[in-house]
Amino acid sequence: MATYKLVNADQLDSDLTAVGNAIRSKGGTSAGLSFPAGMVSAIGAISTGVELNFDVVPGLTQPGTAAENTIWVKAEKIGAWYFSATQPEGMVDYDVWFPVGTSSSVEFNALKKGGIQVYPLSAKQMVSGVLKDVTAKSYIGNEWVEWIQYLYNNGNTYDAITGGWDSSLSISKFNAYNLTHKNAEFGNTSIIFDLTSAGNFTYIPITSGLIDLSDSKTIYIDYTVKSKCYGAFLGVSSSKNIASVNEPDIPAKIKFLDTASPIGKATIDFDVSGTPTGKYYVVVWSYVGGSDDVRGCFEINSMWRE
Amino acid sequence: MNIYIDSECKCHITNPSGIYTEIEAPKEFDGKCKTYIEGFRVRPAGYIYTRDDGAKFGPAGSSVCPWKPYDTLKAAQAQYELDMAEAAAAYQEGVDSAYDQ
Repeated sequence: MATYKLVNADQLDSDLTAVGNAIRSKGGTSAGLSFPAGMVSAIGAISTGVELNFDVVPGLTQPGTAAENTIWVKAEKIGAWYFSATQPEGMVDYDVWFPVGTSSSVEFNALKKGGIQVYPLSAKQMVSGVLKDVTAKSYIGNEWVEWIQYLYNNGNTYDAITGGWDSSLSISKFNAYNLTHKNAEFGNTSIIFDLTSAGNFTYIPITSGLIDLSDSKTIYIDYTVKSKCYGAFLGVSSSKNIASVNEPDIPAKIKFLDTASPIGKATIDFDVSGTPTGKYYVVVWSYVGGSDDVRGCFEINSMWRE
Repeated sequence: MNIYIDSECKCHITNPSGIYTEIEAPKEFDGKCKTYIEGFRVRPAGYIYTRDDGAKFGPAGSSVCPWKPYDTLKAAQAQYELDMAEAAAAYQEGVDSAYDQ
């Protein structure tokens, strides 16, 4: 036989309304809720914790389309993934680390509600105990967007990628020519090479860390010629103990600026596809060493690779 | 020393068909063997080449860069220098032997 309880109707209405309001507030809804089915259903639909606004997917072939902010990593499979300025501890094979900075070509908000702005720079996967650069792209605005792997950009030295830029390197062959070394000025928005001073000297900024060029075929440099200069060079080296700017120390190099370069901004690309797989220092140098050398000023605005 | 570059700025020691452009070799090619030199591109200012993947380089700037894997070029040069050293040693041995007689 069923059991019945006598309750105060007004109090019951008030109590159910309080419960309904609490459910609506937590779930971010406003519709009325039936008791008990509607309330049970609404409680079940409340998300627990913070919802992410992106996804990370592996694959050896780039997907056709994806949800906004999907990050595709060109890898057979992925374990855990990390967004961090420094390498996370305890990474195991298949884990992916996304070094982050303060600007990125593919920045995104990591949360559906509120915001954590993330600035990924590149992707690295642990393979057989070794971190390797892997290709990554983001699906933004209905298209796949490249992750531009900056080495330097408008004052940002991308220390997570480059280890910072060392301006104190001097090359022994230049020293033998009695060219003294000067530290290039790392300004707020550019690396400044001022060759107008008296005397004969060199500027040689170099990445402090080795850059893995295994997946890179081209390095780009964007610069501004303020006044005519004799020349400026970009190269890659396997060692920081560089005796000469000619090979074997620097097997690949480009003279990206000379007296024929027009005043103003320009971008040039540098083919590094023939350098063997592995890690290299990226070196920029300029000098004045003779009375015929034209003394001018130029600035590097950004360098990146793909 | 002069060398030749083709339409893709790849280096050649000889110009059998006469269609390559003659240029002054970069100083870093002094003493280098044929295999080593012909694994490089030398792109003078004003020239353009197209890499196998379609990327174009030039005409601004000038560059020297390997188009074959640099490791193989270094290995070829190392073998060349070894062969030259052995040939020189054998020649010297022959000369010494002739003097001894």
